[in-house]
Amino acid sequence: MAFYADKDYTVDETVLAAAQKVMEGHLGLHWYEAKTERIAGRASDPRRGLTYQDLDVGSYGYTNIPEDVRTSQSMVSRGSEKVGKLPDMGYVVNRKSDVWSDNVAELYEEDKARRWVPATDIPWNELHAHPLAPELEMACAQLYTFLQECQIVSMDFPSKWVALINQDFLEQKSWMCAQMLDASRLFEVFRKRALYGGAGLGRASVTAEQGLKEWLWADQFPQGSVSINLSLAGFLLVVYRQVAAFAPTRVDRAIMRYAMQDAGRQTAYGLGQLRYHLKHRPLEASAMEGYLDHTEHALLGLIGSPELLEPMIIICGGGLEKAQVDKGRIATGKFIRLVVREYLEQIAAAGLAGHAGRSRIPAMIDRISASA
Amino acid sequence: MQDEARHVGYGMQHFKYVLEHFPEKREVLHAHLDEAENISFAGAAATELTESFIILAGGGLKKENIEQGVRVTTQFNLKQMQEHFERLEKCGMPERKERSKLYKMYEMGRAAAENAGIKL
Repeated sequence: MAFYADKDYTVDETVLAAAQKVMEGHLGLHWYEAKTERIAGRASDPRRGLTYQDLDVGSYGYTNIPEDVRTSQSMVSRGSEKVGKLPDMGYVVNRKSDVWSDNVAELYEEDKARRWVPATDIPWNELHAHPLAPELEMACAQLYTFLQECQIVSMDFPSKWVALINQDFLEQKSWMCAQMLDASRLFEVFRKRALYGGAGLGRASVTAEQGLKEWLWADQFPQGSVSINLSLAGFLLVVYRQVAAFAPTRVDRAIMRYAMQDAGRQTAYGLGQLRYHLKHRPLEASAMEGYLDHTEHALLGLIGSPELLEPMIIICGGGLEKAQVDKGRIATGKFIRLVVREYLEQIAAAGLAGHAGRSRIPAMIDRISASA
Repeated sequence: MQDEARHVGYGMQHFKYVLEHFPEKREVLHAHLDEAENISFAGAAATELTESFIILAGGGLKKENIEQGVRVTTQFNLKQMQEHFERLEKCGMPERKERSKLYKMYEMGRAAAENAGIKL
């Protein structure tokens, strides 16, 4: 054990006597006098139900969380009265601008409202009734293998940080848990799709995994968030749109439709977090630019991965014939340019307007996509 | 309940797996439970929980409400401890009762409840 409670409660006479007294019917009711606000939460929109936004009131709300959380280090739920020797949880992220985004509560509520079930919401039987040509099925198997690698990292990033973030950011932590569920559900659906089709899984991508690991292990949350919630999620969002547009089956289109809505939320958080961070900490802008200069090469590891590009070309072209490959190359070239354009637009929209001018990525992309 | 039941379902299967595949860890797990059961007891002894539970179970703050609430809460606390040891037994650790301080507390609590006419 890494932590021991402040006493052995089974031999503590004070605790035993207090419990015994209560169980004899002599209630102390000290908690009746808790110095907390008395409020009655109400749903502002009955169709939407009672949301966290409706409870953004007074000491219970998130609007008034200070930039630096100095007085709350235990697992106490925000707004409760704090008395006695509450344990210090050792949180290392205690600054609102390091994690917050103004849309966190909305994204959490939307995440739950739009939940879906891979086992039953995807028309799996259609794959059985209308099997794909072998080369297309192989391409799908490879694509979904690649996407699983990306989802593992999307799941690991919030998992790695959530226990280190101050409990006062409870909506934020809840949202991060929802992100884990989103990522595990996407991992599940990609795996099921690959294994349903009969081609099995394909090959892992070294370039993608090297870059993803670099992003995952960013040593500050804001930097890691930009990489995972904006760069990776934005990239995946374009992948999902592209595959949905050229989907070889209704199953793949259905999968991508759900994947887009999940990735859309993740990107909305990533953009909102970076924007909030820069708005409240403008001096951090140059450090963030430096981080991006240093790590955005990983985006090329993803885009340039043959384990992604080749199946994408086959899917977009509809097969392996020369005319099909040519068509697929053109579509994939557009996809590559779109990934980079949207990435730079999002970075600019968050507050780093000059980043596109200094980024090395566009020149590299011109070389790749010129070949298409 | 349905969410928590899944956690317990996982916890039991994992514990059983560890005991079956790593029997040498049995003593380490006992030592861990020696401390962890202390925390279980602390939870049950937290007056912030038990008092509110008594009022809710009894339906109010009148004398008869409190008496009913104490009966229900006593049954609840004892049942909770009983199920803890039943689960450990099902996982392959029937001997836990012999060395557990919590089990001794359970036996004392059960005897006291029976003397007070409270049946499990």
